[in-house]
Amino acid sequence: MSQEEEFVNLIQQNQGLLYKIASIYTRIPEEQQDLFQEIVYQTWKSFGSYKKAAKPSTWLYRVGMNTAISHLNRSKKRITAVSLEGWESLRLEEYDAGLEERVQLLYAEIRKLGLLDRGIVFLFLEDKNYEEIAEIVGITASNVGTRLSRIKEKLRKGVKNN
Amino acid sequence: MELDEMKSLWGSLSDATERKEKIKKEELMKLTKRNYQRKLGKIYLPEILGTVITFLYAGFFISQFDKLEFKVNQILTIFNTSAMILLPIISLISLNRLNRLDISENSPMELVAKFKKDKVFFWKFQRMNMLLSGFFAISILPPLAELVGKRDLILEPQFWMVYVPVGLICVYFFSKITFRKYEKSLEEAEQLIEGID
Repeated sequence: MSQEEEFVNLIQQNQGLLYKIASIYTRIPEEQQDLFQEIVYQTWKSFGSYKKAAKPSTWLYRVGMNTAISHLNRSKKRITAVSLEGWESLRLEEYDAGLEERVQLLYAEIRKLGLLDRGIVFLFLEDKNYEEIAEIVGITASNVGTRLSRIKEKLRKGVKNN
Repeated sequence: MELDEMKSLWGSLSDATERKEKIKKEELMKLTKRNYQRKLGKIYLPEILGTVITFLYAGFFISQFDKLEFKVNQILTIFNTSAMILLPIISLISLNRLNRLDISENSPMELVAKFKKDKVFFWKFQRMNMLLSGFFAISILPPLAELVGKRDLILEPQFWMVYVPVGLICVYFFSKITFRKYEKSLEEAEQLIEGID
């Protein structure tokens, strides 16, 4: 299999993961598309290190999150280069207006968090345990626990105030 | 809604993304190339253009250096030329460092910590730039005046009573506006990277 085919397979198999990273870090669909494209580009650029990675399962999480952090840190509002067909923000499978509103409210609060905390929330939602989160993010497992407690409290207060 | 409740709904959100149509190979490969071209143009072009302009000015002063007779003008020219060469180089190096981050090797924690360090460096660099530009705006005039055959300009009261104050006032207001803009962007950046000590 050529490197190009391997890359396409990796993206296609993990397309959902990249959509979710784009959605948790950015709000409007244009920004999400832009970030999605940036992650695809960075994945291609770093693809040489994919096979050498000690844990390929965590590699894409790391590349995706680092790209989002880097992208938002530059904080330049740019217009997306290519419009992806059928792009829509994350929605619940069975539409429930009340629930959808509460989900969006929590989303809005998550997007107010710092870049690292946003990534920790994302990995928590992805059902990663503290050790896995620690390995991807680069902090200790006990630090993950402490940070998550603080984040939950912050989100609770934020949602309450809305 | 609490985060734990959201976690139970995350599966439903994930399933919806999994069912999306897979992006075709051609479209994916096209995305990587287009993005690369866009990045090159938007980030590097203004920096490179600015560097070329300041280098041209520096080149002009270097080529005319032997025509300067006043010692003070020679010293000022050395200072100004060095600034015109060094400052754009530092700016380009820091931009290059920012763009050469290893996205796959560094952890997000390392990356955010590095961004914080870069922001502090950038802020200090801009402050130094502002101070230097104030000095630069004044100090470039005497050697320039000598080169155009008006070397007595600095002896004229008009130079010290009109040109220098007007130049300093312009630099002060320009710096104030720019500093305000930098402070705002720094505040926003700090909000994003909060929690890293």
